[in-house]
Amino acid sequence: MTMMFSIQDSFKLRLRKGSKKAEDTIVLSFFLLIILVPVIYLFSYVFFNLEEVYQWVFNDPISGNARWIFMHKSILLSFEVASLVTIVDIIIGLPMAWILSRYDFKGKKAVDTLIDLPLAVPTSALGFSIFLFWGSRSGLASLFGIETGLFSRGPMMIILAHIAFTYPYIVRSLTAIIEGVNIGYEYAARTLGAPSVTAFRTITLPLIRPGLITGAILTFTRSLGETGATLLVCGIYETAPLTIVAWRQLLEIPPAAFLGMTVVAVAVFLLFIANYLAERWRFPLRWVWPNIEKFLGEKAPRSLRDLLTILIFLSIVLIPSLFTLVYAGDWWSGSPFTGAKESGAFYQVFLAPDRKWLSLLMSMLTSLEISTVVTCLNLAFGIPMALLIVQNKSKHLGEILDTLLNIPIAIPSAALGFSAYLFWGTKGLRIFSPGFWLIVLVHTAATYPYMVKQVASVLEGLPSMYEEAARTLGAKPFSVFRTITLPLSMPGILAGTILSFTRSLGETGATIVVIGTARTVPVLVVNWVEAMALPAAAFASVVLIAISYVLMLLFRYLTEVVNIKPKV
Amino acid sequence: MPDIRLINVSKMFGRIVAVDHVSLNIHDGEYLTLLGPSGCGKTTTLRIISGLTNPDEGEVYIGGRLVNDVPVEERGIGFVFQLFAVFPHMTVWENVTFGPRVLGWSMERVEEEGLKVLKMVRLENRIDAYPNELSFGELQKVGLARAIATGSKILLLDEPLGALDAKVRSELRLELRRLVKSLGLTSIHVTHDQEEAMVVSDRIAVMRKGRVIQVDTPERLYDYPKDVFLANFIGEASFLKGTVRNVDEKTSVIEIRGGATIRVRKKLFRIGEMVVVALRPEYVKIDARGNIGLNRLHGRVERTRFVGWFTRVEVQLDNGDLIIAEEPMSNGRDFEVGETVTLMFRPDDALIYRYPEEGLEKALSLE
Amino acid sequence: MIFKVVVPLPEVKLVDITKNYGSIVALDGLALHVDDGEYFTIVGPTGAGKTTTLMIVAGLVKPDHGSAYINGRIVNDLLPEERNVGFMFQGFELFPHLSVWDNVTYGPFVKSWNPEVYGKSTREMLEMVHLASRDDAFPHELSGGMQQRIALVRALASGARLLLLDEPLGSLDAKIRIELRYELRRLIKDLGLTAIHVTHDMEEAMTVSDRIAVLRKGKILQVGTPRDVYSDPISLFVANFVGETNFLEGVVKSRGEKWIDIELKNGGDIRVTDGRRDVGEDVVLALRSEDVIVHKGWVGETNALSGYVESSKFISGYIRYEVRLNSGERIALRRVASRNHFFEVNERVTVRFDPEKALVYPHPEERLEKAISPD
Repeated sequence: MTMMFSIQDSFKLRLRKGSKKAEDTIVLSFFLLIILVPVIYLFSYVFFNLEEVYQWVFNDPISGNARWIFMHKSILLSFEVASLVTIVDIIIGLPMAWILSRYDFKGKKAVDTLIDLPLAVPTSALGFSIFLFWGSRSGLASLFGIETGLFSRGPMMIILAHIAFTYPYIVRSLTAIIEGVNIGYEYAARTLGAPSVTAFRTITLPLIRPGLITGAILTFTRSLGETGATLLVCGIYETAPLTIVAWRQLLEIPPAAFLGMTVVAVAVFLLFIANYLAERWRFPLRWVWPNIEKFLGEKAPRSLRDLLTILIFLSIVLIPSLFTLVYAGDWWSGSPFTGAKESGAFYQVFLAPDRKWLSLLMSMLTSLEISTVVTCLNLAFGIPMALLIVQNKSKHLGEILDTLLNIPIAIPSAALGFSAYLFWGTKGLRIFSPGFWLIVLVHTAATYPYMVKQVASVLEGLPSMYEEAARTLGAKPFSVFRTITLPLSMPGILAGTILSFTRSLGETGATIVVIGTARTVPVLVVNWVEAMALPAAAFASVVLIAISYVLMLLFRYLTEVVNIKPKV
Repeated sequence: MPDIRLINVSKMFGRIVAVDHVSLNIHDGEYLTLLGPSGCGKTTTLRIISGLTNPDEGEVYIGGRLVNDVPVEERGIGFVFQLFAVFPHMTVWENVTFGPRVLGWSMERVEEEGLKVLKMVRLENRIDAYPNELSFGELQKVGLARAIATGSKILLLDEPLGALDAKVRSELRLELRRLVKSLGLTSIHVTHDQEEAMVVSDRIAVMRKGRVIQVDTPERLYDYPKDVFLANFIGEASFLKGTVRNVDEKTSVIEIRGGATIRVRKKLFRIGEMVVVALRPEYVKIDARGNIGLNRLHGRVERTRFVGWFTRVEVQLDNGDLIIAEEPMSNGRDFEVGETVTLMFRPDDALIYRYPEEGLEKALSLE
Repeated sequence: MIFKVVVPLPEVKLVDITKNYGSIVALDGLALHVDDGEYFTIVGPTGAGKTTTLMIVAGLVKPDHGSAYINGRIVNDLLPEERNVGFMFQGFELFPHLSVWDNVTYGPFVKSWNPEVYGKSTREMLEMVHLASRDDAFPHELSGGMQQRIALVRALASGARLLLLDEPLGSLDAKIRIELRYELRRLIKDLGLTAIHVTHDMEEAMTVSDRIAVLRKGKILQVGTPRDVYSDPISLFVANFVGETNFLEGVVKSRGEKWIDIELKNGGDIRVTDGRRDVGEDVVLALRSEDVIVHKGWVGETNALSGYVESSKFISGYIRYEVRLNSGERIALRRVASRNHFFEVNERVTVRFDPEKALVYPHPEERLEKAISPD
């Protein structure tokens, strides 16, 4: 009797193990084939076409090594911008993160929602908005009566655009990190005589060091890879991603590939540096300045600091990001300067003979279609992947997959798009040419890591005891997933879904590279700005921002309502 | 009722040996506690029995059936978690009836059983509450009701009272034993609290560093602990280091530091051997009316603490050793710090052990 | 010994403290006085407001109403870093990125004291807790008991004379907890400090304290020495919270000058020494399990209730019996485990008690179970 049971039991066990392996294989294959390989295809392309690349870049019959020199310049510009942006971000972002994580005041929820706003703005619309605010006569300049705008397109404006773009990320990640530090440590430090500023510097700061470094490096790589907004504020300057776009459009594939590969290599290299530094670098702890730090913590300087933080946020990040709304309003019925109806957004979009409203409608549909398909793919293949990573966290597989997921995030969107273009198209598998499906694949590659990481972090945060309890009560693994894991991870899954959707909606940089004849709204905005139909572009931006913002609000609402906080 | 057997079970986590060749027999209907300091392997052993953790070596039998390859959900056990694990997104009712519903019972049967177990833990008027509305004690009762609702005859409890207040703990542990006994379950309970183990168990298996060092009823464990660690871990004891001076047919005479001698009714060690004498506080009487044959030691009162129904008196002997004595409140006496007293105890009541190689402090260490 | 007492020790006074968290009333008009040099414990169920009280004394939380005084000086507006109060947290909160030495010297360091001066005294303290040899270890390398001692030294290294302890033994194993209780009191008395200790464990409170305050739902129910609170609990809740107590409901049938006769709810007559209740009043009788006397068979005397032994359990040197009375109630009693005196399950017995030992309380408005519930 016992023997029979044993044989039955081991057979059933093997059967289950087998089907699990099949599931895992499908999920892993998707990841490799659709996400990872296309993204790093650049490397293999360059490798297999070494001679051609060499000629185009270093030994062109017409321009010699002009491209190589140009590459230098654009990479240098990218680096300078990224460095400045990172430093500024930390300086203005840390105090804001402190306010969000440690204070409790009446308007806190409102401020919290506002921080996310720039994320809802598609990157091209963001760049456009920054340009309007800082660089056009309808922006800030109008307050001072200056005709041509405070700044012209170029490095300064690129920096401002990048700051606005990266601010929400750094603030969110710093807030999460600070909240992750047990507040008991600060309490202990204060009872031992440390004023709050000293407690922060000597206790909290060292403890958030890894996260701080990672946040800084991610900010750096984001700025390095930003394409959409930069396109609209660069003027005659070119950052590395812009050069890739330019060469791609000229169909100068080999040099574009080479530059893309270089930028990808730099981004990946920086990721490794981040991990290394996170362990080793230490803050200076030896010094104490009791009087200064005591002063800084007192009521008046603290309020001043807080006020300044919020002011900077509003004036450098929020208002410039949303300025399109103001502009669209000003220019709705006509030019505020000349009154000419043809210069008004309403006329340009709805009444002008080129039927922009139709293009807008078509692009809107295309954008929504693409984003929906992308999100569905992310859900179907991303959730199991997240499960896979979490279940294998202790074994090497989980860690490896997690690191690999960082690659599509760190790579500039232009390079990502370009790599996919090569992989799926004429220089690779020859399955897809620029158009709807290629865009879908590119967007998926760009947003999949976010979905997986989001869901994985929620799953990891789920105490294992709930699933264990369900199993002891007789629930088979799939039942456990359906009745326990899924409902309890719902906030994270919903957040991941909306994140994925809005990011796809606003994606510009990679889309431009693979666009073909289709049009998404962000690309439409770029086109219209280039054609100098600014009010129309503003209108299109507003439509997209409105949709994205509504979705983001939904995201906030859902994470609060559906967020079941277990008592323990 | 099923019985449970572990044969030579081992489990390692990396280089750490969590469970070290543990063999155990649990009789059906028995309430057994795995007792030991944190890190001794008791929780891992429980999880191996449940199937939540797989052993590296050894076999687990439940009701005569080898279950090594049987997944958790098919072992027919109920499990109660330290942090309750009550599903936060379900009401009390949905939690408690989760098992029956997952097993596909009919609606009537689900309702009948659900109400039955909720009545047993006296939570029948809280069925619509969500976990975040309940106190910790109530949460654990939900966990308990949920674990028995499917009718499992085996109940495994992982430090079920650890997260509760002292008072709630002392009340709930009584209810727990009553419930388990009235249902006739086979129960394995894990804890580091020896008083709790005493209250709930039929037998206790004491674990230390991955091994089971003694399995016995609470009385036998208390009266006949196998080594100094157990003498200290179960109940309380004062320890005196000494040397055997004389041995005859039924008694040994031991000389402690400073020259005083103690007579014990045991003949275990040879003359000249170093030993440890362990004395439980309630066997040490202060200034008792003289009885011949009692051992006497002189000292002064170092400290007294009122504990409720007795006073704990710390006496420092003339030789510097410290002995704890219990003075029942019913005697009506009070002792002053510094007072000289005579401590007395019967030869029968002392426990003797060979002096441990690693030294007394290490042998008693809980860490 | 550097820190032996030469100055008067801090005393603490809380007057009419109220604190709300949203709609939850954490503290409700709380008043306390801790004498200098006293070991004072606040005991009560989780959520009663004990930690909040401690945080208010430390300055980490501001009361909505009321004042806190340390040494006669009002400290409401004094920042935590200015109060020089030692605090031991429930989870110890040893800084994970600093060594033991850096942890314990953090206070003096942050106040820019002379390292030579505080180095010596800190080392002495570490030696007192037998951990001077581990000063370069990191917190995660130490056991729970060791971490607790380091947390203690850290709290006192800046010369604080007032020590606040928030469930300092809560995260430790039962056995270690019991051993460290005595050490904790001894250490604090040897160092000559004023201490306010907070816990949910009544036994712990009785062992360490000079005086105890029982806190429930933000209000103090009783303050007294361990003996006072144990023998003279002021309410049913306190009577239940301390030790194991049996409760019998009944009505006062008749009374004399110093006694009353109670008719129990389910039958049986009891006479108790208590002059305060009136005839006809609903009352609850409280009797400690160690005050219950039991005889074999039926011994028909005053204050005798008949029943049978329902269960018997050996617990560390004593036996706990549960007797089911004929009237249906269950009485718990404990006897020292003795080789001759044993009662068997199902044996008929008589339960008796000394009329002086029983306590009588007016019946609460709510159900008895709710009134005494520690939850």
